[in-house]
Amino acid sequence: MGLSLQRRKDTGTKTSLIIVLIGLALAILSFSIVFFTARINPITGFKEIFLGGFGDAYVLQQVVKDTAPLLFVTLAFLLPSRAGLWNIGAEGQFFLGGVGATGIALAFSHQPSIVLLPLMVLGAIACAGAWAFIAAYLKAKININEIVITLFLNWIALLLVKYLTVGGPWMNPEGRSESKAIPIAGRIPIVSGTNIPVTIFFAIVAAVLLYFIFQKTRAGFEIKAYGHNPEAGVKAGINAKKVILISLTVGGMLAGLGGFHQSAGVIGRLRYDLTSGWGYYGILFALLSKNNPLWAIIVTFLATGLLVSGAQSLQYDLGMGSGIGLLFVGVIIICFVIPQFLKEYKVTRK
Amino acid sequence: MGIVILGMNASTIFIIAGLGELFSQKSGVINVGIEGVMSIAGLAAFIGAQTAGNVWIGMIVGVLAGGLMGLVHAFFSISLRLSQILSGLGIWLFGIGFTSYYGRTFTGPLMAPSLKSAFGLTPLFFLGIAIIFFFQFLLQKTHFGMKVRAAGEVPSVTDAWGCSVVKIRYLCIVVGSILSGLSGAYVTIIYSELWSAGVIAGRGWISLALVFSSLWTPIFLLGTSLLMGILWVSMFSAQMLPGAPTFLMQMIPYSVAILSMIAYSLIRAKGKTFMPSALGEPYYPED
Amino acid sequence: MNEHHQKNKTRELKKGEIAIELRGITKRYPGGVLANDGINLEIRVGEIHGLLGENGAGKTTLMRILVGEVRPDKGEIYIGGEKVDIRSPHHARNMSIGMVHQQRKLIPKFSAIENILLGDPATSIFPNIEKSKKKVRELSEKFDFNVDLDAKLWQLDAGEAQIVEILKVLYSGATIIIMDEPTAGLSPVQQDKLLASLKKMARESLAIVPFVTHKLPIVTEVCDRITVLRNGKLINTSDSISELSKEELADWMVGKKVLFDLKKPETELGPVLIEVENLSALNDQGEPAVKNVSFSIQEGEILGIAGVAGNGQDELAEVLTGLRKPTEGRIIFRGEDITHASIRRRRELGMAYRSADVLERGVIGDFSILENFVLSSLYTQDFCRGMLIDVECARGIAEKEFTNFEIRAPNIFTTVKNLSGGNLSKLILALEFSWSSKFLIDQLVTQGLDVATTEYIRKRLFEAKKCWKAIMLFSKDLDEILMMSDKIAPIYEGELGKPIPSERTNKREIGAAIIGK
Repeated sequence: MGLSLQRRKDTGTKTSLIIVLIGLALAILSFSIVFFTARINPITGFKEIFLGGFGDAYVLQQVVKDTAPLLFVTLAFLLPSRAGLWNIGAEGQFFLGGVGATGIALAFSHQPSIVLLPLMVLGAIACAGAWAFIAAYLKAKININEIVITLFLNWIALLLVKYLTVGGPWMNPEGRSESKAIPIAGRIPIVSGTNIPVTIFFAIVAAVLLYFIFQKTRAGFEIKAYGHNPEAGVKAGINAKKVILISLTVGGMLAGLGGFHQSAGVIGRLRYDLTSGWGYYGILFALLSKNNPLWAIIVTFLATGLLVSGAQSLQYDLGMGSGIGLLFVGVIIICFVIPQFLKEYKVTRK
Repeated sequence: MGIVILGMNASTIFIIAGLGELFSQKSGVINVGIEGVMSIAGLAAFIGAQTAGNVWIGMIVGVLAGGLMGLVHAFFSISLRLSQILSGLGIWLFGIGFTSYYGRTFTGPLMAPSLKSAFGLTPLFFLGIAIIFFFQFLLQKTHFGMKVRAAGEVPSVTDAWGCSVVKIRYLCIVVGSILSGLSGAYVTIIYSELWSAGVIAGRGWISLALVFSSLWTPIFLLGTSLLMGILWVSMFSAQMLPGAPTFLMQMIPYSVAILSMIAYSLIRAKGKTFMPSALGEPYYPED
Repeated sequence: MNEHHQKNKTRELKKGEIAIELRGITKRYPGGVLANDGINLEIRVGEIHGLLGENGAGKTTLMRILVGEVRPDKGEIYIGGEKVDIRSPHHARNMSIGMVHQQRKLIPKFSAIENILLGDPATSIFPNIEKSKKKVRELSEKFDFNVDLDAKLWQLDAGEAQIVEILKVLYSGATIIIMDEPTAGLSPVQQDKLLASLKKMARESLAIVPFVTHKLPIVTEVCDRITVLRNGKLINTSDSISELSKEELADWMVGKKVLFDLKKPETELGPVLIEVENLSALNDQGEPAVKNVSFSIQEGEILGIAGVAGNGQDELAEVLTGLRKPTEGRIIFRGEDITHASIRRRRELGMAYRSADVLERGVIGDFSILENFVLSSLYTQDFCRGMLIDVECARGIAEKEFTNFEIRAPNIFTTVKNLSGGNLSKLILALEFSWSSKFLIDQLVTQGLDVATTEYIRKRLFEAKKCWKAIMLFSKDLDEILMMSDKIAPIYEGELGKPIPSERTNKREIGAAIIGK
């Protein structure tokens, strides 16, 4: 064919830029194709995406609100990813966070906010953390494939939520497929003048904290070193089991906080559509942020606007089918994945 | 007895998809996107069968779709030297998105005559058994099988002795994906005879887990698939019983899949490695 | 096709005729390095023609040209009198050229016979294993090779693995056999057996080209003729081996008198730093690899462990550093029983380890030099106090050692995987020397390095000795071990002999001990 790949010595900033641009170009091309198949003018489509996310104050508020849980699941993938682990289970851990928060809320429903809310946070973290810990422990002990385990746990988590809410012990007595309502005392306070729960600040703080941990602390260095070269890390004295357990479990806890936000801050109860794929969006966002927690804040915000809000508006305003958001996520991952080879190789003529 | 027949029909899904993944993994490449391949092939097959009113057309379309996805995965992970996991995850997520969007107008039962079965047992089951033995023989008793295994163990050595690892892996991935596609087509147009966004329901992932727990041996895969198939249908029929905790029961197959992975990992901890040594590792022929 | 036609050419030749002739072979690599400069070489049927030269002399390139991995820029190759163009290793094989590599190109999980059959073009689609085994056994008997064909490769030792590769090459019909460092990793007994077999092979009208760096004994014992390369040029081809002296050969290879006179400093020894009692451990295959080993090392003392690779040295080092669990015994380090302590604890107490597999375990290639310094001192409190990393302090230390060890790289932020081999070795040494370690276990010593770097590393080791560090060296180079160590202990099949002061022993004694008396 005449083309071949040659190993590259260093990836300059020019190359990194090209990689991003190629990914962007592929994405725009693919989206345009999708629009064509729906008989929509791509320009209209792209405009709609953008307006749907950032067009006015109302949608902007929505976007900020949704950035919270999405940032949490992004970090949930990002943290273990630095340690070389694939946490595909953010979706399930998200659910477990909701389970923990709702469970506490229903059990202590007569407590005042000042007691109830912190307990709910603990409940969310504990449940989600425990869920992730299952995979973490198995990985640390017997080096199980964490991708498969965290993934199956997602399905089981969804079924757990369905069990609790659809005809189950927590079901709303009015008979709908949802849990009883979380009492007012258990609702997350909102930023005044908006309908954004304060958990958004938790998410941003978590991202900044994570960045600081990676840059300045020994624990963060251990995670990075282990992630790059586990054998060299172990030889230097890093405790592999500790790194695995902590990174996966804390990752799960972060996703659980997302579940806390969504159940106690947005919906007000536990439902099996607490998340419909956001855990997987988190994987994409983390990849796009190059595993950098600070970038993750910006990327998540932008991507939420475009792929969540924007996609919704494509549905409602342009009549595109549901699932368009998920399709775009899938498309972007492929478009992002393809140019990555340029990081290590350059194309030459044979 | 009926349960066993139904179980065998269900196990066909795992047999065929699992075998496809097994063959690919033996050559050293893992495709975690098998669920996505099955979804896409399943949708394609459904559309094909529905439009043509013929299940055979559907199967051909499904198989082609599977092969196409295999080419994509092979291109990403071999030619572009990308991470096999990343490529697989990409294919999976793309599959979910693509099929949930483009499949929405096709949601519903299949409007095409069913495939005839022998005593309630689908003919694809027999196909499954045949290819199990075929691959067992191919891998262990033929020179080509030796080359495939070698490519999955130490690719650099395999290339050094004149067996192109790139060619071998491309072949194994595409053949594997063709089988996964066949399994996905089987699900939508023969087994369930309907399309919905979640119709594969994780059975692609379960097939992946079964490859590990059958220690990459086709004969063992037959056994584990049969067990999983019977489990799957038992769980569904048990749900019909009054007072059955449906959702808790639906957890069983996934829990068993997790247990099977644990069992495999425990065996491996004893020092017996059955996994192809180069599985998942990118291969750089230029080094 | 043409290639098959030529397969039979060399077999028709008689002893003494020219099997391969190289005329004016020149190869320049993209970086500008002239690896081969107008080489003229003749290899005759039935001779063992040694090719000597230091690292970088051009042997490897010439070898790769012969087996088709590399194409020459200029020059011609004649096989059996006919001009050929060796386009690929596959092509070379079709011309009956076979290569036995130093790093065995074999599949550990496959059996010996499977390895022999893999990729062999004559093997049918449904290989008849029994028939093939018979053919291989015939070959083995002919040349006095003895190996269990059904054994898995990982069960065989270095010598047997090499035999498998030789058989593979013979089985495929090679008549010109090129061998890269054939005696590397072999015990003296295995070496003798191999050389005897090579002589038999030559008598059967095969042409053998062993490539050697400095194993001069193999040259004098077995080669009919030798060719010496230096800096890409052919220096000399000699027929009269026996008349050559070691100094002459070394002269040809290096071009100057090699210096071997670094003096070991006299230090007063301190108290016992590490004491090992009855240590035993298993290897990865579950076999005993370390058997009842006991020794002690004082501060300022260098203990040299002499032995051929594969006699338990790796496992012993791993048990000491915490990478492997012992089955019995005790290790007392600085007064603390660390037998079951974590790796981290051992490093906290001051145990450093320079391992043999450099790029895998010694450094993180994607990290910068600075980050690798941080890695090696993560728990040794040089600049990691409590939870935080003192980046300024780390930078200072990294800069200092960077200059001290004269590592040739732009700066401490350079990514390690971009360093050249020699600088990488210096960096590894720097990493394990830069922190306040008390005990250094060194497996590499000076394997495969150029002379200047080797001298430098030895100098630094002696300096460490003067600072009252205890050092444990592993090497199979007896000259080196004798020169560097205060005490020497031979290791053979996991058993450690009693450490003897180096003045009271000699090369012959140790040499005998490392092959089992």
